[in-house]
Amino acid sequence: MPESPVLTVSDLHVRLGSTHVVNGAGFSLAAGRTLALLGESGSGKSVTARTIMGLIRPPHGRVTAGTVLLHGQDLLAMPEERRRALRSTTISMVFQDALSALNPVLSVGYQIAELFRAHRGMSRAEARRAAVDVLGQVRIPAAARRAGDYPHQFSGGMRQRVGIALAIALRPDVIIADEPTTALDVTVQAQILRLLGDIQREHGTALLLITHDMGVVADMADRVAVMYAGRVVEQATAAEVFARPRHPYSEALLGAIPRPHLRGRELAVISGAPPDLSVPDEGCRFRTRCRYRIEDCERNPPEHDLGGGRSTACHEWEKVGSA
Amino acid sequence: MSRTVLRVTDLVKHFPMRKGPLRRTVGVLKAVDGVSLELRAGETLGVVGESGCGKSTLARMLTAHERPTSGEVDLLGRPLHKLRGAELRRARRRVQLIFQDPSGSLNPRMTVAASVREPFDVNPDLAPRGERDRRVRELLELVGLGPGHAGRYPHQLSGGQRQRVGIARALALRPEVLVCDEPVSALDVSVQAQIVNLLERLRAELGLAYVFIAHDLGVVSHLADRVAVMYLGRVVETGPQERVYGHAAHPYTQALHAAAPLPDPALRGDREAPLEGEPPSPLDPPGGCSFHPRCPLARDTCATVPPPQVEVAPGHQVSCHLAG
Amino acid sequence: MASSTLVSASAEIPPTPLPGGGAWSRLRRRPGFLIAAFVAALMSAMAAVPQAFAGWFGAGDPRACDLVRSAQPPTAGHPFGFDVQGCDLYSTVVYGTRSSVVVAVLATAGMLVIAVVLGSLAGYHRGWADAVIGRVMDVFFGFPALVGMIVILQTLSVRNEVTVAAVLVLFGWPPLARVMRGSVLAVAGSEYVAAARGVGARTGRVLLRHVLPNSFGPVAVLTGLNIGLVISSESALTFLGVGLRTPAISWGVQLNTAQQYFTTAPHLLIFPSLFLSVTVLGFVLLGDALRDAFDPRTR
Repeated sequence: MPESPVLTVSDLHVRLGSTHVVNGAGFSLAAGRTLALLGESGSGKSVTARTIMGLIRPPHGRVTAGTVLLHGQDLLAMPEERRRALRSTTISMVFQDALSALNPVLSVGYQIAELFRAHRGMSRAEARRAAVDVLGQVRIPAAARRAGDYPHQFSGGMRQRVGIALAIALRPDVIIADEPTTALDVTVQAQILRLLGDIQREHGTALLLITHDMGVVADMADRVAVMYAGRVVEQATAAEVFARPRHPYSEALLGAIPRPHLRGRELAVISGAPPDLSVPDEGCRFRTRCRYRIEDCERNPPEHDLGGGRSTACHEWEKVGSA
Repeated sequence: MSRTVLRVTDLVKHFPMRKGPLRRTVGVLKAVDGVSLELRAGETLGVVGESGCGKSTLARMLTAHERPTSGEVDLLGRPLHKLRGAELRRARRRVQLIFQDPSGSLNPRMTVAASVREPFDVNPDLAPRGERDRRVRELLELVGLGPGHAGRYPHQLSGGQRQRVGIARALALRPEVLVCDEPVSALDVSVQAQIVNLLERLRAELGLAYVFIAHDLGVVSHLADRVAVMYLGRVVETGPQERVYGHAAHPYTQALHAAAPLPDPALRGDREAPLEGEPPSPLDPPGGCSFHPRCPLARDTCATVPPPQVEVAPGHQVSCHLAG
Repeated sequence: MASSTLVSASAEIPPTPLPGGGAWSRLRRRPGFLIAAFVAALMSAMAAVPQAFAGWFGAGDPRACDLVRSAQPPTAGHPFGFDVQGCDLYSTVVYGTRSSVVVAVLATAGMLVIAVVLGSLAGYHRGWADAVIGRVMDVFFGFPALVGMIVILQTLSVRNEVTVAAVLVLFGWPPLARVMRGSVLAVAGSEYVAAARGVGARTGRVLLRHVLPNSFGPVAVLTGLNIGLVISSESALTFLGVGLRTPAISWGVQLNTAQQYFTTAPHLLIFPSLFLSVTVLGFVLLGDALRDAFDPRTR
């Protein structure tokens, strides 16, 4: 890959209870770029994001293997103290529900100012000015006045802007956005996506965008990592995946979206159901639903490197997408 | 042209907002504020709009779950808004509601078979007692569920399977109209496609007419013959699918199309600037054209005079001062 | 009655518990539940057939008394000693279980009936029924229940298990009814209730098949807590001299008598209160365990 990665996740395994939610997920995110982690519910995409942020902890979940390298340092091997110092300053997160990330009894300006006071040692007045400045950057009108408002006084879209303001306040190198627009209306979603894109360009931040929406991927992502059953099954640039998917699951997902030329016809469906991740399985997890299935699929396919940063985890990848 | 099965005229639903110990009325939430629509046999009418536009309240009035404040709901020649008691129960069999949240619409303590059997138990004339179990099996088969699912409880099913159960229950009454309120919004893309296909197949096999309500323009475009676009309790544009998608005349419809992310990276970049702001509260809608504060084309008249309905093409109506 | 405890305990409970299976399997894994269930079962058995337990030590008959042994401390064969009348304290305590448990069961059953009826009425029909029931509950919440119970019991000529239970019901139903109302309110607004109405189900069926089974969980759970509280309330009333009276055998009566002899014969106070505390604790823990098991958030 031409750019050096700021964040590299390799062979990540996470268990929640007896369920192996993440089974060897791996991807890397280049500086200033957007990587979309695309998957349906239960694919492990959100758990992967939360693991990177250090939000998966015993007794709820356990990282059983793997590394998460941020600027070459393994976050998972790091003492909690150092990790906490990196959060917000180097890597931060935007949640689907911004309200859950905000304290309801403190004004939003205070909560952002707190970051500046804790990490930058600013005085109260300085921190407050900085907070208003950040709220302005996320295009909240009358930021100075609204800084004194409480989270519930903001509308859905404005709340998500506050969530983004919290994430970008300390100018981190990496922002993880977990379904940042799923709860929003279409017109508001468009505003928030545009804002995320603008901020990323202005600050040169790398963005890990967790989503299930292929429209959002097509709109925002430079590269895509498609997740299925806790594993990244295909990695490529967005254009490549949409033009010619190289994994049967990516292909099936693309076929399932309604498009103008499919009107009046049946949509492609993925037969069967996602696998039960509490049962160990040596084979490819997608094989029971796959139309390319061969005998080899009883062993888990290795990751085939197709060059140019493109990879797929399928024995039959050469046949996929050629139709 | 085929016959009209469902016609609503000037439908209004206002919810009084009460406050305090004396439950004083402090305001009126105008959820639906004058909607007229028509649904013909075998047709799918798509209704799109953002949260708070009144589309769910509309669905509940069409299916007699909610009584309109004023206006008429005419179902197969019978005034649904006037009927009560046994007459209402008989009439509403012809129109059934499919809910958005498939886990919320099934009683967690009833098996799949019991849920689908319920319509037969409460309407004994539908099928004689001995026939009911067979009918339940047939209905489950019709929506793609096997006999193995019959004894399960909702929490043992996936979201898509639960939605199938909800559809089977609705079909038990042999309705002519299904009102689907965001039936696939809570489902994953691959499962969404299954339910969309199922609805299409049922329409063809059973000759159903659908009112299909959604915020997802893609799904509506796939299914609908005609589309109505709602904003703040009113229909701002209605017309044949290819008109509303290909030649949208209302600035709000155009903005919705521009905002919907398309699954094609090549189209990135040539998108218009997104609409500013968020839909205002239906408690205090703006005067004149309710879209004017967000409208990029608004003029002075838009703030004061409610827009007239203009027919810009056969069957394609728009409520906008600038149309026509 | 400690009604404020009941209310705060109830506020935590979500309206729709999980289907029974999951809750039971989680219950069985909790040691606290097993101990509490054992205590509750033991006390219920003691109340049902005291003669089976009373004969384990000493006389076995609480009415076979010998004044010569009045207030004697524990000896061999009589591990709890003797009461003022010279009766074997162990067997009187065992027989005393009955009136405590009978009052508790009667009172709780009465409260449940009122709570389910009024709570469902208020939660399902809303409107004026809700307003009236709500205001009546507010009156009871604001009223000093203990004073009210003392006043009523003092004016009653007959004071037995039934009348004491009735007075406890009168002042104890509002917290349960409030929980029931909230729970019914939530279930009545759910989509499966709307769906049932949509296929033509009438109010009776909707209530019995859909609303009640799904809204009863939180109230059922509170009932466990409530039994413990009712037992201690009954003893408190009797201790204050307005509950059951001798010759009835009950823990409250025993405690009432024991207070005069506390310095000379402390065992008279210790053993009945030990039974009382263990029983109350058992039922309260049972209710607690049930609440946790039915609360999906504590899984």
